[in-house]
Amino acid sequence: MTLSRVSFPSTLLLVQSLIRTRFRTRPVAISLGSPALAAYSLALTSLNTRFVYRRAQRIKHESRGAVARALVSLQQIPLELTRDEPLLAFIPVKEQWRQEVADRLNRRYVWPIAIGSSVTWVVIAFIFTLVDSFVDLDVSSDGGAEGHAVGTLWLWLACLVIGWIWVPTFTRGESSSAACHTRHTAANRAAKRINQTAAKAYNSAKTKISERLPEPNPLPDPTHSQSTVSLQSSAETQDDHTHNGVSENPTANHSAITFSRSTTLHSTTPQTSIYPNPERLLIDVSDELGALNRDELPLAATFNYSRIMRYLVLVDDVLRALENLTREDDEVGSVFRETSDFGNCVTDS
Amino acid sequence: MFNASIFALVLQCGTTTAAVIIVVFTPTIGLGCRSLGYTLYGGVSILILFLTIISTISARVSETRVGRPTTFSIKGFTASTAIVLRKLSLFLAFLNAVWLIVLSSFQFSHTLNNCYCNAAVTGNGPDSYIIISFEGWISTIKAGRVSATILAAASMAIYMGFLWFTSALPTGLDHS
Repeated sequence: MTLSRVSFPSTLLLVQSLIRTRFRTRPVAISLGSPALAAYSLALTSLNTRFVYRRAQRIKHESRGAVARALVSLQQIPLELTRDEPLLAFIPVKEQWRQEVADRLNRRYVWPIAIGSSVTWVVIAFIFTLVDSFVDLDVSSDGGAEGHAVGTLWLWLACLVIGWIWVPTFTRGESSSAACHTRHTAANRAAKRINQTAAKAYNSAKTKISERLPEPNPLPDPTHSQSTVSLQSSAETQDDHTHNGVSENPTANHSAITFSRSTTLHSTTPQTSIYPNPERLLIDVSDELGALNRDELPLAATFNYSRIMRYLVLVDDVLRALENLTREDDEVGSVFRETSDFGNCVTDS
Repeated sequence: MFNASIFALVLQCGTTTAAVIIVVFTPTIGLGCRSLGYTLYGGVSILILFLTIISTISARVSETRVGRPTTFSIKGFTASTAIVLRKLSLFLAFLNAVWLIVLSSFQFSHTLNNCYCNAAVTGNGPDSYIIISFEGWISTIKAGRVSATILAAASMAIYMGFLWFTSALPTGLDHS
């Protein structure tokens, strides 16, 4: 009686978590075989989340919240920032996108009904077992310990199930059976959106800056001007092209805007383009992982422990890029604010 | 990594030790079949955790080293360590999962309710005895069970509290 009271809800919870992982063998084996490892993975995910939010709070950029949420939601997939581009831009500023991510993530306390009810059932059954264990002390020759002991042995399962609902993974609020299946596609979609919005932001920034640049003026020379940022307009590239006898549409040229920084402020960064090719900002390294990191391939959140190093590097890169971008924005803004006329800025020096 | 593994250990050790305490303090007192099974399960689980952490670290070390992996270079050595430990820990996890299911099934079916297990022969050896009546043992049993319940509840509370406080969304992120 006692045993069936404990075992049935526990088994139900177990079956539900099996369904949650789509009966894939390795996550199940790891969770059952080593609850310590599963708990470690969950704790890491939670700590990563706090780390990302804490670091993002130190940045002044307006889209820091969106970036932080995107980073938090990308923990289940081995991603890296491309190393092809020297300096990185990462600007998901679109309001709609931000709202969507926020909506998904703010569903934090909406519990999937099935999981909620079976966790409640497990708790109630355990309380009954507890009472039974203290009241019926000599009901059998083993002292009625079986139910209590086995129930205690399985208690971690309830903790992990509740914990995976608390910790913000991308599909936290979604139905339990579809969760693991959609997790990959959702993360992929988020990565793709980041890339797309970065592309759009790149284009809009390009047109915004080239609109504000005077066409005929000579360009500021970084060695002579005191301003920290010198702008090389698309006019110059056009000039170059016409000099070479090639006339091109300057808007089609991706390296039209080059921010060449004076070496006084940021001596560590070389002269680079702020806006890299945004199509290739985040790359999925799943294809490149060999036998060494095969644990990073499965997209179950149980395997977050294997992605920790790669993930921390990604977070660091992205947030540092955002910080750089904020500084660039400030500098460009101050240049635009302080000079009513661009010609003065250059000729007075 | 350190914090995460500490809290994971708290959860694992807390629940497993509580289960062991309950069984051990139910007469006959001593390490019987069930408590030995639980201890084995918890121990292997923790072993898997450590093996996996070492595997993760050495995989990263090998990954970030430049050069060709040879048998005696750090890159090659850490790579083979990572792969061997990963496979070993997965194998152990399979065995341990099967062990947990088997152990629970044995208890559910009262297979372990026999003289050998109830007398805790594995722990007490030739001096084992079996208790017919629980007269006089009630306070010991109760003390064991109360402390086990408190231990399990405390470890769960510590782990869940840790999750709760770390995964909280900070305010003011969206409006700088």
